[in-house]
Amino acid sequence: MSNAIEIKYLNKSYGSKKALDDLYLSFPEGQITGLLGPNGAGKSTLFKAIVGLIRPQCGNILIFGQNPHWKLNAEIAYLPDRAKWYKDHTIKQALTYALNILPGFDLPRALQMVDLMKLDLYDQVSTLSKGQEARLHIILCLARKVKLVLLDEPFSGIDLLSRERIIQSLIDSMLDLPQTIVISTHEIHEAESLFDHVVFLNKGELVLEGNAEALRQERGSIDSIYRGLFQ
Amino acid sequence: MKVFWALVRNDSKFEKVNRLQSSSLNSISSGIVTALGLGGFLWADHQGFINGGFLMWCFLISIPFGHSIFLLNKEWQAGTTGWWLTLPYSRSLLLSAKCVASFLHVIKDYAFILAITLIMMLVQYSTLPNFIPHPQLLDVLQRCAKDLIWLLIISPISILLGTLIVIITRSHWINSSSLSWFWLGLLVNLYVAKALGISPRAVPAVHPEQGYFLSVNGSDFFTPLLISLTVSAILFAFSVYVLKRHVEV
Repeated sequence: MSNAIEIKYLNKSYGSKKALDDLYLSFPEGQITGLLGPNGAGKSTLFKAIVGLIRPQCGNILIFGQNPHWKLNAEIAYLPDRAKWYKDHTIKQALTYALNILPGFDLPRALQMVDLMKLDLYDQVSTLSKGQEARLHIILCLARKVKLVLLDEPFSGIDLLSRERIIQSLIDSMLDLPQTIVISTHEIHEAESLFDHVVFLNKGELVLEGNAEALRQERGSIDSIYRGLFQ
Repeated sequence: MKVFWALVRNDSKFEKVNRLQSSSLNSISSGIVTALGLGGFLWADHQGFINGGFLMWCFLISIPFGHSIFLLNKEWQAGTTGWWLTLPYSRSLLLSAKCVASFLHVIKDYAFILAITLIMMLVQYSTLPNFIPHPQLLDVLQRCAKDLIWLLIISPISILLGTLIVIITRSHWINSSSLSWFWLGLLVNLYVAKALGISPRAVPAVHPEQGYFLSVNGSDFFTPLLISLTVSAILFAFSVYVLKRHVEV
């Protein structure tokens, strides 16, 4: 199986603090990978390096065989950590804006997802609850026909029902259009059924990676592996 | 081009609504700061340090600078930089959309000032007794329009200066949105206007050949326009470089 992303000896420091420390790993193509680790593990930094929001001090990133570049972001749907959308938009305006500026944005699919996620097209983003806004962010990412989807903490601070809706839409999305999806999350218990592959990071270093099913058979649930590694 | 104008439209709208949504506490504090500033200027005017013409000059010259700072800074304040900077377009396209959005707002604001000035003139003239000679409205219109052309000529520099200030304060060189940078930029902006021969007028509308709000050395538009565009291009290139290489979010 080929890899969607290959990370080789990636280093990034903020002052004296190392966010990524000689990181060497890969993400298999066409699978859902769970990127797991405690706060400060380097998950968000890794995502930012992939989409070009930060510049690593050294190391190499290859996304479908190419170095990160703004042109390559046409093939990546990225949900930033603690993301916020433009508050003055209504959901309809957000979708129209996305249609105009995001390559591969599938409006009929987005409208279908709005319906499934129980959102109102005429609601303004500033009036949405945290869970509703998170659902909008997911729609803006998953309604794109792109090869790679990066979701940084998509379930953070969201109620159980919203989480379930998001997980369902992720499953539907993979059934409709096979993509490489990387999800970083602390809500391992709810999301672990999604993962085909898991990567555990700590303090910018790779702790463990492998096929989710093989790891489950070998060591128990992903949740218990996480607890064993970081408790 | 479709993408570019979609970005410009979004940036223009972004500014308008965020102003409306500013909290009442912000409105009160800005009101107090404006009143204090105005009080200070009036006191200085009374003491003879500065005058109304100087105030008007500062205000008009600062409009494009303020617009660009506000518009670009909002992206960070609203927490939308993660979306904005990962759009699959070059940093130069993203920044130029911001600059064009600022410029459109500047045109709108200057047109509004022109309209208000003319309406005030009309009202003032209509109340004058017949034996007092009335200034020609057409003359006032021409002089205001001349002022606006000069202001529009130097506005690209102001917009790009504001843009560069925001980007530098968001870069890892400085990494703070310190007010001192804002005041430094504002002063540089005023000095640039002065260097290009656009000065404040002591009293509005003295000589018919002069502008209404400003006193401008020379009537050649071409050289200042060329200087303005050249300096703006340099500031733009530097802003793009800093945004690309030294700004991380």
